[in-house]
Parts: sequence; C-alpha cells; structure tokens
Amino acid sequence: MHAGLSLQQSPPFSVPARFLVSAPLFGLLAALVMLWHGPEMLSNRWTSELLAVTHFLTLGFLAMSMLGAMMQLMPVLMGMMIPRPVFFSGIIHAALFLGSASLGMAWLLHINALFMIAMASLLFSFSMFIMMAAERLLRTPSRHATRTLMLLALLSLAITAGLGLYLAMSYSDAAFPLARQLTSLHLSWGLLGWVGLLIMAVAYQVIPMFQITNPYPLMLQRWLGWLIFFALITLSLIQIWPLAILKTISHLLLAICLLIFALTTFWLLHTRRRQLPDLTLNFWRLAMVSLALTALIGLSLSVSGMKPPALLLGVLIIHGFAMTTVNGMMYKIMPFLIWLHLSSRNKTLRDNDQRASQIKVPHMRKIIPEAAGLWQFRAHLASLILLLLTALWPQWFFYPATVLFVIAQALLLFNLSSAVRFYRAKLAELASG
Amino acid sequence: MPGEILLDVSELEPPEPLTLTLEAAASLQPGQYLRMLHRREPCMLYGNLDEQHFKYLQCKGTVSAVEVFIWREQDQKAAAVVQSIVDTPI
Ligand code: HEM
Repeated sequence: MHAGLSLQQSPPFSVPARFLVSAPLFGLLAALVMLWHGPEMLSNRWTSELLAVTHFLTLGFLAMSMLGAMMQLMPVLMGMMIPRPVFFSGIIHAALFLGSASLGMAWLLHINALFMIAMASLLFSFSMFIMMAAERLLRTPSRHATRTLMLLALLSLAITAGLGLYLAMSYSDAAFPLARQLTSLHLSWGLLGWVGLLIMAVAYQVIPMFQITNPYPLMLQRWLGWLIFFALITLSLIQIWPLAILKTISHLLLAICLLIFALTTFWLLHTRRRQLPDLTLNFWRLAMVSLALTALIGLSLSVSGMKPPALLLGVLIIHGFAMTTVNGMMYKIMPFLIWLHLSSRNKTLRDNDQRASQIKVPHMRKIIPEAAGLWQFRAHLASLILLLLTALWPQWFFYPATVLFVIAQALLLFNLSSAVRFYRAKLAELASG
Repeated sequence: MPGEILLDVSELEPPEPLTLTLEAAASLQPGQYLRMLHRREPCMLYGNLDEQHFKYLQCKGTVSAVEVFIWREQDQKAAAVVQSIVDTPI
C-alpha cells in the first residue's frame, strides 16, 4: 500500500543530508590525523594536534550533524517553516565546513592566516544559524520543553563560540594573551550546554517516538535543562567572583543532573513497550552508560577535590556520549528522510494521475541494512573502549584504538552515503519511469 | 458502534502510525469515523489530513494517552456522532 503523504514543512532532502554526510567525513579526518601523528600528540592537554582533533570532532562531526538534525527536526517536530531552506542551509553548511576544516588545519600546519579564515567562517556560520533558528523558535506556538531547551542550547552555542573565538585570537596573533582560565568555561558551555541540552531536547521527543517508551516525567522535562543552564551560569560568574564552594556546588549540580538524565533514559528504554531489537537502541544505551560514567567520575572528583583525568573525561563525553548519540540518531533520521521524500514523490505522481510510474517505497528499516549498521556499532564500541584505555595507557592502546576509530568512521560514512546513493537511484528510476 | 473504525497505533514505530492512519482514513465509508489511539501527539498527521479534506479532533484518551477522531469533511453524520461522543462526560 502507498500512503498518501505530503512533505508538510519538511525541507528538501539536500538540506539535512549535506550536514549528516559531512559529519563522518570529519570523524574520519580526526581519526586519520591521530593515526598519522601517533601517541606523542597526547603528551599533554594542549598539543596542537589534540586541539585539532578535538575540534574536527566537536565542530566537524558534532556541530555539523546537530545543525543538520535541527534543520530537519524543527519543522517536523514543531511545525516551523525555515525560510529559503536550500539557500540558508547551503551557506551555513559551507561556512561551517570551511571553518571546521581550517581551524583544525591551522593547528596542524601552524598557519596563522588559517585561524583568521576559520574564525571568520565559524562566526558567520554560527551567527546565521543561531539567529535564524532562535527567531523561528521564539515564534512557534509550541510550548513543549523541547522548544525551551533548544533555545537554551542555542544560547550556549553562542557563548561557546564567543569564548572559542576569543581564545583563538591568541593563536592567530601572538601579541594577544591566551586567557587559559576561560578554556574550561568554553568546553563546559560547549559540551554540557550546547551538546548536552540539545541532546536532551531531542531525546524528550525521539525516545518516546522511535523507541516506543513512556514519555519522560514532566517535572524532569521542565526543570532539568534549566538546572544545567543555571549551574553553567554560576560557573561563569565564578570567573568574576571566585568562591570555591560555589564551584563545588555547580559541579555537583551538573553531575547530578546528567546522572538523572542518563538513568531516566536508561529506565525508559528498559521498560519500553515493544521489546524489539533495534540498532539505535544500542547507541542510546551506550551513550547513557558513558554519560552516567562521566557524571559519576565528575561527582567523585568534586567530592574528593582530585584533579580530573582530562583525556578520560573528554573521550567519555565527546566520543562516548555525544558522538554515540548522534551516530545512533543518524540511523533513524537518514532512513526516515529517504522514506518520507520517496513517499511524497509518489503522492505527487498520484495526484497528477500518473499512478503507473509510482515506485515501491522500501520499509524504513531496509534502507540502511541492519547488519551494516550493527558492524559499524561494534567498531564504534570497540574504538570507545580502546580510546578509554588509551587515555590511561597511551603507549599500549593508541594504535589499536585509532585504527578502530578510523574503521568506525569509515563505515558510518559508507552507510550514510550508500543510503544517499540508494535515494538518488530511486529518484532516477522515477524520472525514467 | 457500527460507524466506528478503531485503530490502535500506540505501540507502532514511526512512520507506521502516520501511514496506517492515513490509509484507514482513506477507506472510511459514509457515516464512518476513525478512532485512533496513540501514545503521543501525532507527528505530521494533521497537515496531511487537512490537505486530504478530513476533519479531526484530538482528546485525552482513556486507554492510550491520546485519541484522535477523524472523519470526512462533508460527512455530517459522522461529525455528529463524534461530537456526541466527545460531549459525553466519561
Ligand atoms: C567558534 C567555534 C570554536 C572556536 C573558535 C574554538 C576555539 C578553541 C580554542 C582556541 C581552544 C584552545 C584553548 C586553549 O588553548 O586553552 C579550544 C579548546 C577547546 N574547545 Fe573549542 N572552539 C570552538 C567551538 C567549540 C565547541 C562547539 C566545542 C564543544 C562542543 C569545543 C570544545 C573544546 C574543548 C573540549 C577544548 C579543550 C581542549 C582541551 O582542554 O584540551 N569548542 N577551543
């Protein structure tokens, strides 16, 4: 049976697709840079290779896919229309691509001019996106917690990017002093504010929708995100007004909020109504284990006052929590988009009385073969475990970890681009039919 | 209730709730309405129903979280039945 389905507010396929396919390109680039440079790049927290890899992942993989997902989810979940979607997403994507690539390359090749290009492109891309998305979100009639959280996430992105640009000035111009005390704020706003709040915003909708679970408790939906935001504000104020106790309290608050989110999500998944095996479910579970571990380590550190093992926490939250979540979501978003666009093509044909040329739209689960996704999940999981071991014993585990990281990202890129090729082939079939 | 077509999509994975509802709506006979049970507010459904000239009414469900009544725009009989169901206090 063909359902008569129209796209509604959904933007053209190319709008989210270009972001989603670019993400693993940067993931692969990051992994290859690691392989190329070897374990020396981890000799301390500030090697330029490590900063390059970090931003290939946080900007090239995470921001890239999260912007793309938002362009798709805002219209579908909240009924918002994006103005001139192809044009705007095209320039936002191009600037983000150029900015992420040149920031990393500036660190790798030590070329100051590249920092300037990176800063200009990232400033352009993020301010365009934030203004467009915030304006739409402020106008939507939806009062779901997702809307508030998306707005808070956008504000956090603005703060992260502002701090990042300020920090980058000292790299592009030696006369500019490096305000390293701001780095921890920059990464907290980036990883907990922008990434954490956006993942929550999306989880509140897509976990019940795609994993067929009960909804998140309303109290939690309403307050958890605000508490995180509030803790981040407090952490920022400590820069001006240093109070050790406030810092401990904010860290505790952050850790507890993250733990509550991870455990609630785990519980919802555990008690889901239909116990079907599902690829994305594996990713969600792994992401929540990583998030809970991050929170527990953070909690014990703030209680004991010990120094955090930066690399371990970084791997847990960037690779284990954020990239895992996004990776899993890609396996829902990409097939859904392809299914949706093919179905709506069929409807157009039917409305024009060209029923004969309709094509058979495959089941959503068939668009990316389950086995291909599962192998990619295994490679991703193995690379996470090995990267965590690398954080503790770099000389032993560095190469196995990076090789698996390369494989995981290459497989993801392959799976996503195969899906796009499949879509194009179906469209060609339609055109010739 | 002869006029009622019951469709429970509350345990189905997207996009099935959407496609099955649109299919069931398309095969409604005069006087019939669709009572759709779902675990959440449906996504992308209402715009499609508008386009295909259906009327709908969403309310809190008794069995599932959300119930949606759907009938054809020009079907007065179905509309009246739905109205009487919605107006009856539980
Ligand atoms: C406009 C975009 C951005 C720019 C220009 C930028 C720039 C920078 C710079 C210059 C540093 C080095 C600071 C230092 O040497 O102390 C840094 C560190 C860092 N940034 Fe960004 N950043 C941006 C966006 C982001 C985002 C969105 C995230 C996370 C989601 C992020 C995560 C990090 C992390 C984790 C570090 C610390 C690395 C470490 O501690 O070893 N950045 N960033």
